[in-house]
Amino acid sequence: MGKWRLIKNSVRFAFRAKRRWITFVIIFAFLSAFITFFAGVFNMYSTDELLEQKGFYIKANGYGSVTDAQAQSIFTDISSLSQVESVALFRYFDLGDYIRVFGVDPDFKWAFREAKPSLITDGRYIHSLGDAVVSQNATIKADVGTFPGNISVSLQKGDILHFENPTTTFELKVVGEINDRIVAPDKLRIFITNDDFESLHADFGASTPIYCYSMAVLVKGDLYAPFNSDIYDNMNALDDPSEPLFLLTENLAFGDWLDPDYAIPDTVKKDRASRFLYFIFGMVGGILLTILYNFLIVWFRRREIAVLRAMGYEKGEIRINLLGESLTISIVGYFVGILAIVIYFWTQQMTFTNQLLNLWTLLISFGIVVGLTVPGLLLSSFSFVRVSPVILFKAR
Amino acid sequence: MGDQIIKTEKVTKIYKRGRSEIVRALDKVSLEINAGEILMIIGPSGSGKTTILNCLSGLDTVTEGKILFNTSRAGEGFKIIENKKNKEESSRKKSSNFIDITTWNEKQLTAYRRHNIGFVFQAWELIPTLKAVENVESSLYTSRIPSSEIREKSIKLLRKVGLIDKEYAYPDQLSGGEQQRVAICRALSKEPRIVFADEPTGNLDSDSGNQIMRQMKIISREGAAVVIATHNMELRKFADRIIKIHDGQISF
Ligand SMILES: Nc1ncnc2c1ncn2[C@@H]1O[C@H](COP(=O)(O)OP(=O)(O)OP(=O)(O)O)[C@@H](O)[C@H]1O
Ligand SMILES: [Mg+2]
Repeated sequence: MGKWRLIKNSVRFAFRAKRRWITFVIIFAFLSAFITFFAGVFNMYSTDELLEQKGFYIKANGYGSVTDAQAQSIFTDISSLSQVESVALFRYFDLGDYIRVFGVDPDFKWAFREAKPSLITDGRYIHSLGDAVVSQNATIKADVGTFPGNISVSLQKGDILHFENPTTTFELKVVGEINDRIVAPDKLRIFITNDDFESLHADFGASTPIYCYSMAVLVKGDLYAPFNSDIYDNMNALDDPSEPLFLLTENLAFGDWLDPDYAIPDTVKKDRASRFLYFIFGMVGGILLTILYNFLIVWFRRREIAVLRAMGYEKGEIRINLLGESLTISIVGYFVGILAIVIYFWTQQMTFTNQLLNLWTLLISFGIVVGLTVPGLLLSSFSFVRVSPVILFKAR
Repeated sequence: MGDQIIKTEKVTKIYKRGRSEIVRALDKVSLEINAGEILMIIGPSGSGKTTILNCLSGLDTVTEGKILFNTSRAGEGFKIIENKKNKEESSRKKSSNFIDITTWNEKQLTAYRRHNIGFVFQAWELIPTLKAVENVESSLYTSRIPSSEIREKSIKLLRKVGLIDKEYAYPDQLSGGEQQRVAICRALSKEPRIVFADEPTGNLDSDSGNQIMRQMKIISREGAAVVIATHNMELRKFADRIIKIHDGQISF
């Protein structure tokens, strides 16, 4: 069919205008990298920077200072505060002398400041039942005879942790290693989902108590609404030693907590505002760029357009030709931009577990880049009509 | 004559230049174009040659007069798209095969050019990013003919004008004469009824110019009318018929 052939050819031939093509691919690559960078930064609001954006993080004063029951009751009280959106508890229990097991709710993994996914050094974070993440360079120790811990085996991604007692067995697969910030010398730290945590405790650790390690409190408010000050107001409302959040943590009936650590509302607000501003500049710049680009394309190719019109190409058919080139450039430019980021990270030896290049960032920035080209495409698909074939009869 | 493809009746084209100045680029031009002939329109610079070609091919509108196209000689696949204006007209003149293209809108004119008209320009106007054979094919990309068939046909045409082993060269790797031959093949690949050529040899030395004209001759022998506009009197020897034009008025 003619149309399909036109689409195919418009893409194929777009690559042939080398200098023009490369120039614009590079420009689009820069734009894409810029947009991706910002999409990544904004993505961090709900991930790596979640606590810095809208959270209070409260740690227990030390080993065993907050019991599970105390944690559950402060959880209930804080959850009921009107400014609070959600509360997450991070709990642990000891399995024997050498293993400390931490339970994480995968929905709140980013609120676990000492063991959030960006601290993974190898493999991935826990997603589902049966997954386990172990602290970096972990070793399993065992006592032999009278010498405590004198046998050790190192643990790596891919290893299976097999628990067995006379009535039941339990298996966890090590899916990643994490450079966690929890200070517990001589303990192998294992991070698993809360559900596994409960079963493992019930079957193998029932004799040892569950304690609370820390609690994250997130306030209400939309991270992606630059002109909405809910987060700011809610943070301010709680950020006061006379407020219930502080009073509850100071009440020893709820255990022995350290002072809350929290995002500074003013700084965060300013930071968000300026990032959004840069982002908007980027978008406006991008739109102008694609408009300019499409304008130039019609100008560069005007004799070609005139020839096609003289030949009897319909407007829609010429449009396909122009769109083919524009879309190819913006899509290739996008991937070149991403590749540039990857190469940059690679040369800087940074790890890719960070949030800059996660799936959502990529999807969103791709959508934005393709979306930015729309005004330009519209412009070109209207402006080419003004190219009259009559110019062909005039000598160059 | 049944061989007429186009005939014009008192076509006048007036350009406005600035506020008040009027240029009568064509003044009551009546002519006909017959199948299988080389019709040469000769006149000095500014006499209106290009303007005639523009009007006959529907690239430009006329101010007054009629351009009648013989639908019984239309190219394959050509269908008259009717609009209100020419519906009345065609019912009025049921007996005749001639339809006035000056009543057509842009869509109709596009279809008209697509199936009936080929162009050869002074500056060749090959698409620089397409290889020679692709340039020839480009006028068929919008058709329903399978790609392999188009390729075969285009290569055959290129061979016919003596471009052997240059099918896959880009325009800037070809000489002017070679480029013009590619352009001729491009004009011919869709088997047009008329080829309009505006100074086709204008950018060439006389040897390659003559070669181009011989190619034109061959084309016309296969049934297409070739209309050549030029100021070069030396080309007269290649014409079957000559129309002289001066200040927008023609004489035979
Ligand atoms: N768009 C226009 N606006 C105003 N005047 C025009 C326009 N196009 C052509 N003319 C005038 O119409 C007349 C005929 O022009 P045309 O281009 O047909 O000449 P020509 O015979 O093709 O000349 P040449 O041999 O130099 O190409 C000229 O006087 C020209 O100045
Ligand atoms: Mg001219």
